[in-house]
Amino acid sequence: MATDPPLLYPDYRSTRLRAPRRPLLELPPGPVELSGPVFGHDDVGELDHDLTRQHDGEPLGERIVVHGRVTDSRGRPVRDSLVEVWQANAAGRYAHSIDDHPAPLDPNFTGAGRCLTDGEGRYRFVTVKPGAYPWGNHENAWRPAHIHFSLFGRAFTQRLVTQMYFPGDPLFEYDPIFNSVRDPAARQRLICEFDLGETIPEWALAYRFDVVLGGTPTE
Amino acid sequence: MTITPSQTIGPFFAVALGRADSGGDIRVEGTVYDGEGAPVNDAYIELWDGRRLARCPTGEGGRYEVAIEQPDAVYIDVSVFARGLLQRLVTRIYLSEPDDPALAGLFARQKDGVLRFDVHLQGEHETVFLAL
Repeated sequence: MATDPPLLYPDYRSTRLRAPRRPLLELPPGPVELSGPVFGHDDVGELDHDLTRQHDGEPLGERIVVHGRVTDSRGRPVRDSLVEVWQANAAGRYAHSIDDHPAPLDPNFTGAGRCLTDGEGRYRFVTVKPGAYPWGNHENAWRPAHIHFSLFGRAFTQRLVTQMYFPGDPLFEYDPIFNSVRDPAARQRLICEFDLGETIPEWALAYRFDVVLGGTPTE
Repeated sequence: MTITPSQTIGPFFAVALGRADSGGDIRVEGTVYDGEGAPVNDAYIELWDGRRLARCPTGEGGRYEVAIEQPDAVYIDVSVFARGLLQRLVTRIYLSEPDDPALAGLFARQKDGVLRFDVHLQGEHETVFLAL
């Protein structure tokens, strides 16, 4: 069963007029696709990984650490690779002008972060747990709490944009975006794990989200 | 090992993903359309030429434009992300006419320093999208 969701998944209404209907043209990747942008420490600010320290005050919400490892499909670490995240605040509202959900904005939370993976492919963010929020897909539709992830990997073929969900969310069964991934094992890959070992006592809970990139170039 | 599946970029990516020109004097511009020919004003376009990354969101009227340097390769890779796209779409902008007739529609003739490349997600003029 395919890991990635199908382009056309009618339960997710926006796919209906946006999913291409012709089959993708299969081509062998060339040198351009087997390379990818290289990022360095100049691309990332000192506090970019800590979404709770980007304003004068602290954001409201449940403080959490989100960390994990980025590997390729053979389990090899993806080093020095840019990871970008964005999310709603603890009330379920994005700091974006088109978000009209009547939940409060938090002046101390933008909800954007970035960092580079280290020599073993590890990354780490500090943030607050995002809230669930309603959306217009169908009657009484709510998105389960999630954090958006953008990863470059080492090659153009490895580029991935995905969403990380939290364990045990009661909204999973009603969410067509989560359920567009038809393979249950692959869907499980989108859910982080509670990680007691990485919690910071008296300070923050922790979740682990490992990412496995496909499209590994042969070396 | 099960790879991590793709999910849509959603409508709120601009909180984190901005514009990055790669600094040259060639302008790549175009419009993204949906299956009914309506402009898609919440897409995100990334260009990769093997050396430099450029990226930008579409805005009013579904338009995007980004400045790049003259690429060395014969094509530029394009990733298209949007609400409603559960995976990114990949295509190429060919700078000279490709040999493969299936790719002919991806040729963009450079004119006065501008490469025009529209993206039709669906429909009669659907762009040729690639699986690499």
